[in-house]
Amino acid sequence: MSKTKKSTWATSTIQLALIGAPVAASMTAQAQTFAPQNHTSDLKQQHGAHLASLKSIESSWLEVPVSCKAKGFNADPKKRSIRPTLSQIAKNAYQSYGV
Amino acid sequence: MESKKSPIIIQLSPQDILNLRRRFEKLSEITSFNQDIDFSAKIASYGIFREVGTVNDELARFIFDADTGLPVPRTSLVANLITWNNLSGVCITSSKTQRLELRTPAFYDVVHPTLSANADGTLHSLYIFPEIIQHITAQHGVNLVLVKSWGLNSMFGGFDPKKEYYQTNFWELENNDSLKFADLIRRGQLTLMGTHDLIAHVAGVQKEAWLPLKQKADDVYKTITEYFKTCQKPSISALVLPYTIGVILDDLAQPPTYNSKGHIAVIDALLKKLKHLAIKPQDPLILTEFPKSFQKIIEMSRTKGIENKTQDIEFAVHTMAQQILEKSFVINKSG
Repeated sequence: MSKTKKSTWATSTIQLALIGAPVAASMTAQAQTFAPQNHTSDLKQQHGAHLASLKSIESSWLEVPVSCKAKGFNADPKKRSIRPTLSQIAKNAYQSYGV
Repeated sequence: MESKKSPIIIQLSPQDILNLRRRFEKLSEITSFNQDIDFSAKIASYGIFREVGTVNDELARFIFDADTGLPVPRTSLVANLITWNNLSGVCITSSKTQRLELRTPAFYDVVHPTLSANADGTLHSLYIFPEIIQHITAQHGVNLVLVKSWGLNSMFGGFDPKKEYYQTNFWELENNDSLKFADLIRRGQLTLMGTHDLIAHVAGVQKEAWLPLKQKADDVYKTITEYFKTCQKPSISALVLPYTIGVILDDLAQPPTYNSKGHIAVIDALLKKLKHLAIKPQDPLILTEFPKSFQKIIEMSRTKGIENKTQDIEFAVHTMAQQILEKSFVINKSG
């Protein structure tokens, strides 16, 4: 069983040059120095960027309630007992398997 | 009439689990239960078995003690893999009581009624047979599937019973799982590989709700696909909005929130933001903070009547996009 994602996060090897202020939409045209021919290298850098992002956002991510993340069930239990009933489709299904 | 045999508890050895995993690894990414119902039932049962009684058990809070009227302690729940009448399944019991009741109606549909029940209608156990459940969902036009990558990340991989589910949530963000989820839903498919799948999506599935649900999922799938069409590995910054859409779509695919106008309104606003390319997926960005307004967006989608406040929704979505951009840095690739 693999351990937490933390242990698989390699130290980022990207040489980050933080160009001035954080990105605004108007700034995305700047500093695109990719060499399109070096596709494998680009993917590696992108993978490294992924790891760096996940590491950076971890603390803010943990502040988000679990209920707001994927795989939550947002119904609450009924406050009182409910009569056990099966839908007709379910009844038919169990009967077909020899209840 | 042939007497019915009692269910038999199956104890899996480490080698058995390894064999199960190896066979699972050989599957295609998506496997319909119908392709191999016996193996699928084993996998579904195993996935539920792994989660029962742990922090990731989503059934526990709906299982009550009929005598006290209180939820049974999650840690009192025990699962066993079983076989009965050539059916593979899982049986859940509580060490605290043999008089259980379920506090969400649809839960009863996925629990074998005669094997599980006491004479007074309470339950001594919860016998769950995925093969029978597949039969039920198929009547609603929904087919159960296994998703290999999800299983390898959870029951056969990244799952740690001691840790909150956030571990795999990260995985869902970085792997753009919203796209896969939307694809399943638009095809009328649901996974059954754990307690969330069982209680949140499968129990209470309704045919009538699935036509509009499939249409919305199709819309989500096509928009996200188009958004990423030029980008092999988008940045985490670009993945946040699709992840958000996926969380809300997951809600929408749960019977209690089928056809929720609020959820639909927020999904639509997020899709619109994607189409406007507020965050360009091909930009080499590093995200340094998860947007604070993500929680607000999710809570909005769950707020009754929010669909009548479109400006509020659009403002919140715009704010989240701006927060992502403000906390993103461009990578300057050197050398």
